[in-house]
Amino acid sequence: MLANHDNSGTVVGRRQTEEVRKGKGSPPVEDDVAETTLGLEVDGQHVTVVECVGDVAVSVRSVMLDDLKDTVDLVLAGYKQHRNDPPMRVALSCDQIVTRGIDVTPAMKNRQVFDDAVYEALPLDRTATLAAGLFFDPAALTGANTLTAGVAAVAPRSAIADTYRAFVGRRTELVPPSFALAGIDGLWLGLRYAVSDLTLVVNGRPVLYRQLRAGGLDTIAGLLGDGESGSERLEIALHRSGPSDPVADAELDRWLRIVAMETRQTIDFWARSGEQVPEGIIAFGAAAAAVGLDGALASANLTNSFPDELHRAMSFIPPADRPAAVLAFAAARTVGLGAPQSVFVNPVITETAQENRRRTRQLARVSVGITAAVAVVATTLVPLGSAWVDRSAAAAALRDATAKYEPLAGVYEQLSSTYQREDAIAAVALEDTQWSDVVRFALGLAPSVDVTQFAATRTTNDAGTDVVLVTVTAERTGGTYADLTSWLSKLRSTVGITRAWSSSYTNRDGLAGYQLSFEIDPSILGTPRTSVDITSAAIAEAAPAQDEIPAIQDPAINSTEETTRTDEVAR
Amino acid sequence: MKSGKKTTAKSANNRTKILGAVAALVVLATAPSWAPIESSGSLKQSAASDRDQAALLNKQADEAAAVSSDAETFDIRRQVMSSAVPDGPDLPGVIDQVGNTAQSAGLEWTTATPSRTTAEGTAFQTWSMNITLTGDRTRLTAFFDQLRSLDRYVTVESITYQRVTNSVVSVVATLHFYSLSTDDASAAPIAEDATNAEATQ
Repeated sequence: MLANHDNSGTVVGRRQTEEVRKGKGSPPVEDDVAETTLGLEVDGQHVTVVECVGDVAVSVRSVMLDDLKDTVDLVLAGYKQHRNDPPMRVALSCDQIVTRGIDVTPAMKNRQVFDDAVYEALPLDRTATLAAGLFFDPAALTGANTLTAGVAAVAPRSAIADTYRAFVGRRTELVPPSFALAGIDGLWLGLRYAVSDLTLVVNGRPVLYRQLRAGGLDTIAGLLGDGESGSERLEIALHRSGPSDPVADAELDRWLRIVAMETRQTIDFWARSGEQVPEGIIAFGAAAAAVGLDGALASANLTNSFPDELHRAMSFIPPADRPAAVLAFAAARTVGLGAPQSVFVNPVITETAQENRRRTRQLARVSVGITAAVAVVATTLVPLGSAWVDRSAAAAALRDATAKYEPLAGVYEQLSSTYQREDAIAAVALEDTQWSDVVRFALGLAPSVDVTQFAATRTTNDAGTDVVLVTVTAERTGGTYADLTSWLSKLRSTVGITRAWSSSYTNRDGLAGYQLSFEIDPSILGTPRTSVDITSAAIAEAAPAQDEIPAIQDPAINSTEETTRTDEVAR
Repeated sequence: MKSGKKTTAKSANNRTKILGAVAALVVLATAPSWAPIESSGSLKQSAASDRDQAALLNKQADEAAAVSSDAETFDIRRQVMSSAVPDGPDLPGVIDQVGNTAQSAGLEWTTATPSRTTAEGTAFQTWSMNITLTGDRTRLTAFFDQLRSLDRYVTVESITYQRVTNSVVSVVATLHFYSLSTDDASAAPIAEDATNAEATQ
């Protein structure tokens, strides 16, 4: 009995379940390596986790806290889910789960098509619920018109979202309880905190499911007291672990009898509907170990028989804990079965994705803002700051230079005016001529004549060259033209005479008159007088009387370095 | 109705985004012309100006310190240059010096006509003086030689002479002399009247 069943009812091993999950549908592999899986049951605020190796439960933990997220974190403490590990299957026990058999077509492998088909079969509010489904024979879904059986479950969206939220960060597949029980034939009576329900599994398929109107144990806790008080009284009544509480015992017994009666009625109804319903039930859940359960079931003509196969599969778990761990154990055994349709869609992922997109947009806006701010800073404040620092440094340098200059300002003013005078002389000297040489040179080249007129001037000739133009008028008694020719020849052959020509020649009564002109290259004349000459001469002249020259007294002056002139810049 | 509200809110959100983007673009586009940018430009200009000024002052201070290390030589140099190219034209002084030089050379000067020439692009003033001399021709070179020994820096622009007798010539020479400005105390009244004025011995 305790074995997985394929969708045709064949008993298969664990590997077969895996293959179905992966959609391969390959035959079982006998030498399969046992895989560790986790199954959980979320029953109100109670969470139970069972660790399975292969088909054997090896450990169980059960925790209850006020906050489901804290409870999940606590119960899963010590379990680390690796990237290649299978997801953990969570059976969600919550009320208002509606289950109905459906016809499955190949098109329903598409989740959207599947959801449309489910809500067509179950006219429920699609915005408030989510659907999951188990296809009984998925391998047969070939072609376009194949039809096979299946079962759909619809649960409140809020309960699913809250549960998924508690498992954020873990790969989880949330399934209805009946789907977790797939593979283990029997009439399963769930006696849990959130709900009490009845599931009929035939040939490994959860064919019928009904939540009992009696509700779960939490209804009794609510009657016994508010909050922890009621829960504590209920726990004591369940396990007889404290002082006798007749009220709690009576309420629990009353609830068990109502459950048993409703179970009886449900079985009878299903039997009348043509189902093969076994008489014995398998009670599981928190109240399955209640002392008054067997009596209540007997009053409804029911017998509770926990299968030996289950005892064997859960042999590592204390017997008293086994009924409460059944659903988590079953979930662990069916990890991946019928996925993805068997798993409720995680609405938190969508919410998270929307939130992430919103944050991304917000981050982008902030980034743009920061970038703009950085751009403004880079284009305004940084240059301004840099310029300000530069300006401050330059101002400090100017202050230092001014402090250095001020004691020497008087000396420099004298030096500056001296520079100006020296420059004036230098500029003039460029075009000056040693004029005594002009007279001496010009007249020295003249033959024995009487110079009656002499003129010399600095000018620029037609060729643009600076020359000294000399014009001489002379006469000679008994002179001849040959004298003029000889004179011109002499001039023209003299170095430094660039040009010579005659303007007139007369001879009247034996008195020859000559007029000629020539140009002298100034460079052959004596060196013009320069400021250096003047100063040197003055210094040489003053040398013997140096003691009489007053020295400039300035204590700030102690430099002996050679410097160059800056007066041109100053001016 | 609900859908309408959503649409309105969405379009308002879009308008806000568009306005924000436009504002950001305007800010970035006009950023270079903001006052701080102009201020940084003027700060840079001021810094460059200060640095140039500081470099100039440092160099001038160094030069002043250098010449001060030999204060006696610098004082001679300064005095010599002040005599050679005085602040003002000092026309009486230059006429006196040139006249004495002519006499010393054995020439007799009869007239001296100073005038101010216009010197373009120079930092000093050029003055012109036509001087008429009479004397032995052979003394002429001595006169020009002695002109070079004057404290005042005098140059010759041109000379013309005519023979008067066998050995005597009449010389007209155009001399140039120089000053830093025209506005010294001695120059001002003379400079205005110097042109075409004639000093006669």
